This record gives sequence, C-alpha cells and structure tokens, in this order.
Amino acid sequence: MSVSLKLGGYTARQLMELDACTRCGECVAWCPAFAERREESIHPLAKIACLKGWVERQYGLRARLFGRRGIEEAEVARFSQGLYQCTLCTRCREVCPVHIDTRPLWLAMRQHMAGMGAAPPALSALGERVMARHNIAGEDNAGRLGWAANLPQGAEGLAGRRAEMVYFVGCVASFYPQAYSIPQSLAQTLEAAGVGFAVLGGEEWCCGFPLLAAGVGSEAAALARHNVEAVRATGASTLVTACPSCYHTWQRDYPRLLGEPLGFAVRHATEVLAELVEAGRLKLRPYTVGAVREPPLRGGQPPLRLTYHDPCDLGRNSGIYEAPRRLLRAIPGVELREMEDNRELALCCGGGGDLEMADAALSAAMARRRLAQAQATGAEAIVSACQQCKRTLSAAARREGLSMRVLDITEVLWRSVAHDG
Amino acid sequence: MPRLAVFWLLHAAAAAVFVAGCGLRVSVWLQGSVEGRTAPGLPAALRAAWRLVRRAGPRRALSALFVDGLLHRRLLAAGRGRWFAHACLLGGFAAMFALSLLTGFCTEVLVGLLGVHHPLVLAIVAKDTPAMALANETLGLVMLAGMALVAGRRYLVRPAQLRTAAPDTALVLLLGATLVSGYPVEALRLIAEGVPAHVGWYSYIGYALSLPLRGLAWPWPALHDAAFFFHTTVASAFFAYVPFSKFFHALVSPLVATANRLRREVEPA
Repeated sequence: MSVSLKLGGYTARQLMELDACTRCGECVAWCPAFAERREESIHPLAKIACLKGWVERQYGLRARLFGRRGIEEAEVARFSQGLYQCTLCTRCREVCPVHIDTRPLWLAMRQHMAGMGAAPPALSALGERVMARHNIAGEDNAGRLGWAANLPQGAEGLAGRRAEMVYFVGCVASFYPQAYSIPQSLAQTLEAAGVGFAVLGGEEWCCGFPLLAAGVGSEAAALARHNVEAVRATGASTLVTACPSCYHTWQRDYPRLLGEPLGFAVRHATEVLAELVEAGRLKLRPYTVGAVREPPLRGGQPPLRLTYHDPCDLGRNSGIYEAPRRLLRAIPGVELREMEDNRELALCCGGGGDLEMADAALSAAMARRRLAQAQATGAEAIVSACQQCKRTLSAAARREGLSMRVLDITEVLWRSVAHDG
Repeated sequence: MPRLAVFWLLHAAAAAVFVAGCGLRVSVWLQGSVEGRTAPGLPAALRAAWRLVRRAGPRRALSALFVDGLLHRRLLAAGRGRWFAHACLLGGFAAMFALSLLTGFCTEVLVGLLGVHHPLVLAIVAKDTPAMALANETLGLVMLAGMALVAGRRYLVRPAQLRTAAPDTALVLLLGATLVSGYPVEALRLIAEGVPAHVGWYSYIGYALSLPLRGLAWPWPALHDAAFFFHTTVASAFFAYVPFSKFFHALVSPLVATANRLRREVEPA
C-alpha cells in the first residue's frame, strides 16, 4: 500500500531548503549519530534526499505529466527510523555551507511522520502520558517538589508565593532522583544570593519540548498556555530554568505557539548565576568538596581540572556559550579545559531529541564518545548545564566504569558558594 | 536555416522550459506555509521575504547575501580547495552567462534592431576582439578547471562524506560536455573564417587546437556548423535541465543562506 505526501506541515522555506541542498555531504561528516552507527538512513543528507525524492515523485514534472507515484509504507518506515535516530543536536546546521536550518526541518519531518502514524510507538505513548499526567515520567504531578524535601528549609512555601522570579524546574529534575541535586543547588544558590523566587509545584506542567521533539506536539500549545498563565499569576518578571530544552522551548517556541509575547523575561540559570557572581552577590571560595577529588582539595594543591560540555539546546540552539564558562572561571582553584569539539561544534551527549526512547544503544554510544573527548583533556570532571546531559553522561560513565565525575554547573557553583553548612 | 536562427530558436525553447521548470519548483514551495499561513501565494511569500530584509536592514542583508549567499564563507572554512573549485565553477558560470547576455543584447538589439555602431558595441559583437576572445576563452577554462576539480574529488578522491547518485553524474556529464564542446567550435571557426594568427591566438585554446588541423583540406565551414549546432544543443539542454537538476541549488542556495542567516540575526536565540 502506498501513501500520498502532503506538504502543508512544512514551511515554504523548508521546501526551498530541499532544493538548496548541494549534496556536499558536510553534514554527513559532522553527524555524531552517523559517526556511531553507519546506517545510510541516519545522516542529514539522507533525510533531505529522501523527502526531496518523494516530493519529486508526487509534485515533480513527471508527476504532473504522468501522474503521481506512491510512496511505499516500507520506505516511510525506513525514513522514520533514521529520522528518530537523531538527537536534534543541529551540528549539521552549523556546518551546512548553505545554512539549511535543520532543527525545524527535522521537527517538521517528525510531525509529518507522526501524522502518518509512523513515529516510534514509545514516542506516541509519550504524548499520551504527558497530556494525561503533565510530566514525562507519568508520575503524579503533585509530586514535583520531591527534590525540595531535603532542603534545609524544606519545600514549605516554595510554591505558590509571589516573587520576582519563577524557577521552572523541568520534568527531569523534578522526577528523576539522580538529578535532584540540580534544583537543590540552584535553589540554595539563589537563596544565598538573596534572590526571591518561587516554583510552580504541581502547577508546573511539562514544557512540551518532548512532544515537539517527538513530532506529537499538537497539544504543546495547551501546555504552553497553562504554564504561561501559571507564571503570570505569580506576578514574576523573570522565569529562570536550568534545563536548556525547557529554556529553548519557553524562549523560542512559546511565543510562536501562543501567538503573543510572554510578558516576562526567560533566562537560563547560567546567565542569572553569572550575573550574580559578577555583581558580587555570590562570594566564591575554592572548590573544597570531595565530590570530585578525594581527599578534598586543600590549599597548595594543583587546580581542579574541569571541562565544560555545551548542551545542544543551550549552546547551538540558544547561543549561550560564554555565561557557563565565565561562571566556571570565576571559581577559585578551577582550571577550565576545552574539549576538542566545543561551542558551535560541540559533540552531543546523546540525550537529546528523544533518542534514548527511540534507540538507547545509539544514545549510549554517543555519550561514550563525548566522555572520551572529556578524558582526553585530562579533566577530573565533565561539567554541563543540563540535567539530561548529566543523566546521559553519568549513565555512560557508570557503564564504562570511568573515574570521571559528571556534574551540573549548578552543583559545582553551590559547592563553591561561601555559605554556612 | 541560418546558424544564428537555430541558436536563438534552441535558446528560446530552453528558456521556456527553464522558466516553466522554475515555476514548477516555486509552485511546490508555495504548498508550504509562510508565517503560519498554508499555501499563501507568491505575493504573500515575497512580502514576508521583504519584511525579513527590512527588519535586518539593507546593510546586513547585503552582507549576508555577499558573504554567505555568494562567497560561501562556510565552504571556505570547510576547505580552501573545495571553495576554490566551487568558486571557479560558479563564478565562471555567472561571468560567462553575463558576458553571453551582453553579447547577445549588443548583437541582436543594439546592432541588429537599433543600428547602433558605436566602436565599443562593435568590439563586443566581434568575436575576435582581443578582450572578448580572451574573456570567453579564460572563463571557459576557469569553469573547466572547477569542473575537473569537482569531478576529480567526486570520482577519484571520493571522500567518505560524498554520496554520488545518478543526478550528480548526469549533471557532471552535461555540464562537462557543454564546456568541452565550446573549444572545438572556436577552433573550427578560426580555420573556417581564416582568422589570422595574430588575431586568432587571443582564443588561445581554440587556436592551439586549430593548429594541427590547418593543413587539412576538410570542409571547414560545414564542420564548424556541425560543431556549433552540437554545442548549442548541449548548452540549451543544460540550460533547460537546470530547474530539474541538482544545479538548481545554484539559484536557490544563495537565497536560503541569506534568509537563514538573517533570520538567526533578527530572531536572536
């Protein structure tokens, strides 16, 4: 049975991009997923060439003269598999000589596939779960403050209060205990700097990025509407999040989905923290906790060697490269070492684009490669600014039995903030 | 039928196919959405493009077009050799196209229709004017060099990132045939018209090709006609094929590169 192709889900610019592709293969050379799994359906060129071929078959000269030729379901399945074996890292966009804007193109393709019922079943189920439970874990959404239970002041009063700033925690940090220390660190650091903030608690719903990434984002506008209303109700002028995907979704997708400006600023935690440090509102002392080095760092010891991993949604997709680096350099006793691939060309950790749900082995292989780059710097720890990066890289380090620690920048900063206790 | 009549007939037919092919492509693009509106129509799409340019400002728009759309900064970063080959091919093609348009305009409109006989116009029309002969010969050579580099990389060096398919080969063959077939035409013309050496050598490749043939008693005018028709047919076929081939990227990619760079600048992350 063959299917027909509808192009209404693409923008005119994206259809032009199919014609602009020169087949130069630069994206093939830089695709981190293809580097791990040499399957021809994975790399960006294959996706563009395949869709372009389908467009030709159904809308090209021959189709106009002699009628459309159908697309076989097996072709759709093959295309869809390659499409989801991608972390949406957009390294391909950075190297494309003709600037093809691949991220929205891949998202449109995914939406197309999901609309044809060709998305991986796990991702279709994700859409249903998020809409039913309002988080990716499928947990009771009222349990979003589990991470706050161990704070000195507890979770009491964090949610529901009026404040200048709302901290949007994100699903991973709210429901996956291995990431709890990120919101714990950020919340305590903001307290230490005297920043008044609130969280939304059970009123925080998934930002919708996992649905957009899965191509099942038709309901994302409802999530966006709820979240924006919840933040507006607090009277906050700024929303801060430590999750780059949440940040990117709030910053770039919400105004588009809602068709209106949000009415408050959206900032990533690294931007806010760097400003607090530079304004002298956070006093930093040498990194003294033994989480990285045993025994703990003491005066006279060589500096702690860290390397920074740029999260794709923070770096390439949001353009924030320097704030995290400024933060790390501001910590006494820290030596920042760059990996071979950094900033615009940083390798992906393997945790983006819902890849873990579509192909866990490929995700793990990508994480391994990134850790190898980190090890090559001689760093003692790899630091990221994303809970999903931390989760993916930590799991890979554990599987590989590596001694390298994986930390989030909020954790590193909190351990350096001069505070009692 | 006179040679020039055949030339214009073939080129007119090719131009018609070219325009129809471009229209077909644009009609496919317009099935997508523009600013949230599906199937917006060409005027709405052009208005959206114009709004983008206005938001970016003319200086930034021109800079993006020049640096990313035409000079392909990222290709240069990827490799100087590749950039050079591409620049030879595309730059040579653009310059040759412009020169051909100018020659055609001077020949058919200024001289043919309006009877202008200004020395500059006549110099452009005459094939053996040193500047015109040198320009035509050199631009063809530049394109051939670019073509050879591109083909050598694709078929001999074969870097792992390239995926060669039938459309790539079809384009290489058609463009290669168009470029190569121009030189025998010039060689045969020089012999057939008895162009003296001190004038003919400005067409240095055609002239060199003509040297070993000059002593032969062949029907040069007829051979020249045959070579001319062959070259014109191949060139026309290439022209008509552009909107249906990979070469269409030469027209689209500058627009896409410019628009996407401007979008990233005016819609900061």
